[in-house]
Amino acid sequence: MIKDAIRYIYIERRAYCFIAVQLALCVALFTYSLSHVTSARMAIENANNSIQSGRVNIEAHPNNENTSSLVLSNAEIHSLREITNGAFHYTAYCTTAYASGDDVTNAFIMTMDEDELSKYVVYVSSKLFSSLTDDIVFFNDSVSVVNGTLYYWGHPYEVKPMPESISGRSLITTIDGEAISMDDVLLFSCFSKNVYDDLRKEDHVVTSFSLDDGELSDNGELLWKTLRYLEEIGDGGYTFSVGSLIQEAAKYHNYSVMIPAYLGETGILLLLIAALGMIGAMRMILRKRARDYAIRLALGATEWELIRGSTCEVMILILTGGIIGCIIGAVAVKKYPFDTMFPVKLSCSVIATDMLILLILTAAMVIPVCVRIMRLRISDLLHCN
Amino acid sequence: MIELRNAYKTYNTNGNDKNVLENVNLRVERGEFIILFGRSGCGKTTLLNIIGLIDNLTSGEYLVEGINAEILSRKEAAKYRNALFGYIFQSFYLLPDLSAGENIQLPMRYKGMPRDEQKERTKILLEQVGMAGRDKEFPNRMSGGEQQRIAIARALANKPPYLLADEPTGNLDTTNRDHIVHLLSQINKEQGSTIVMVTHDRELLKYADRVVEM
Ligand SMILES: Nc1ncnc2c1ncn2[C@@H]1O[C@H](COP(=O)(O)OP(=O)(O)OP(=O)(O)O)[C@@H](O)[C@H]1O
Ligand SMILES: [Mg+2]
Repeated sequence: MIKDAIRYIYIERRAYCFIAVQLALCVALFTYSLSHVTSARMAIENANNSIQSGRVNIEAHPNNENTSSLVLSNAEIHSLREITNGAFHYTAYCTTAYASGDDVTNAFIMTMDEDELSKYVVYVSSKLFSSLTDDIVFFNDSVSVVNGTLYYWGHPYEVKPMPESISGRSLITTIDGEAISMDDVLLFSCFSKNVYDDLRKEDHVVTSFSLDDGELSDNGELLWKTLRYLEEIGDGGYTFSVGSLIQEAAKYHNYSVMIPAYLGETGILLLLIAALGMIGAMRMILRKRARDYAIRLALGATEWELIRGSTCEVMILILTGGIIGCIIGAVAVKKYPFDTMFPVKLSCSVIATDMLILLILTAAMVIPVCVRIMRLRISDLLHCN
Repeated sequence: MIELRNAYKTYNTNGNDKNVLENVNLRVERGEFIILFGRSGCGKTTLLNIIGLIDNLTSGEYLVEGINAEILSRKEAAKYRNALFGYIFQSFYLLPDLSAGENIQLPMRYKGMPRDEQKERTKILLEQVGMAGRDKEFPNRMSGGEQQRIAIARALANKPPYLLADEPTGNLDTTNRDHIVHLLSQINKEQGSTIVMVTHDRELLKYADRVVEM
């Protein structure tokens, strides 16, 4: 039966190739878009969860152009955690890069908090990687490379090429809104104690602060204490404001969801059009094959056997197109995510939705085929000579 | 034995009923060579289709081996077509995408015969119709006479007791015609297959045990 199905697919290879390619593209686009939409939803949900748990965000705004964002030393962070009974959190800005172009090679120094990054490693693009591992390279006072080990303010870091998921990103610096390519970046994990301290010296990292339950539990006393201590550390260089996570969630929504969601709708629409095309193509193929089927029936095939055969064909077609589409979509999500404000990942729910759509599509194609086969009248088809 | 009793077949075209078969009574015993003879349009093909279970009567009874065809389910009808009847058409109706051998194997496949048995039988059948060793060839590379031989081999695949041939020589020249009819006659004599053949060629009437004029 499978052999017959493959033979029939081979006979109709042009039509089937066309259908499979169309299907693969639609599924890829759909997977890509839906991944963005689900990831954005997850980011929004996380933000909402934080709001619900009473989390407060504190932002430090530099008062003059000579200062950039406030950086805390580990000791200060430690005291802040003590003052607030552990409610104080900080994150070095992760998805937004902060960079300074003070190197002769134009390499930017950047920190990022990604699970993939290890503390004692500096990550560079493959382009930089090949030039760094050779001999001794001096960038400037703070960065030098000796025999494949990079020294930053005297601390050694192993040099590794950047994970692919990161190297494809295009980031916007907070200084002037200009995009920098990851090719020109020395990337450290912001969880590395050394690099954090060093950056503190250089005033290099943008840091956001937040308090868990701070405002709500004690009429804002924790918040007030925190702000006062932060002002002390900042030495008058900063104004502090309490940011709203609701706004942040809305920002995610407006900025990052719109375009991929629009793509998702386009994907669905294209999929519908493709489905109509596929059903039409299948009808044509069946009409062409009606006499073939009539002959088979006259030779003793049952309608059921013919239905099984054509279902097999449809399934091979949809599985091939669908799986190729899923793979293309997954690769696109990994290599070319639309935005870096939140991590874009291919989740199981996206794959499950894909499978559901493919299943519905299979049914939409198989049911008309069944009806047609059940309605075949052998005598009419074999009558005229 | 197959038997038609008071058989009527009416076609409805554009709202007009047309009686193609009117009160047909026919009885075919096993082993007979019967020719249905009559002018064009008198319903010979229709009758053969009804006998071969690929069409239904409008009224009357058709008994196949004592069983009323009307009560057969789709599945049973398919099984009967596969096991009882071998159909030979005027325009051969070989599947163009299958090789000669695969065409011959189709009825055996639908019967569920094991693969090596199918191959063995195909070889014998090809020899029998004088086409030994040509199982890999495709029908569109064959002459009309050769295609009809393959079609006959296919009809014989499951050793059906009844061979139904609808103008099997209508598309062939006289030499090929004689070969084919000779072959059918030989099958009838040597294997005892019942043959119901439709023709309007008077020259062929001599081969029949019985001629039914319509
Ligand atoms: N499916 C159909 N619908 C309507 N009319 C039909 C149908 N099949 C056959 N007929 C009509 O029934 C009549 C008998 O047709 P049939 O093919 O049985 O004749 P025949 O004796 O085989 O003719 P020929 O010798 O030309 O093959 C014809 O007039 C034909 O137009
Ligand atoms: Mg006819």
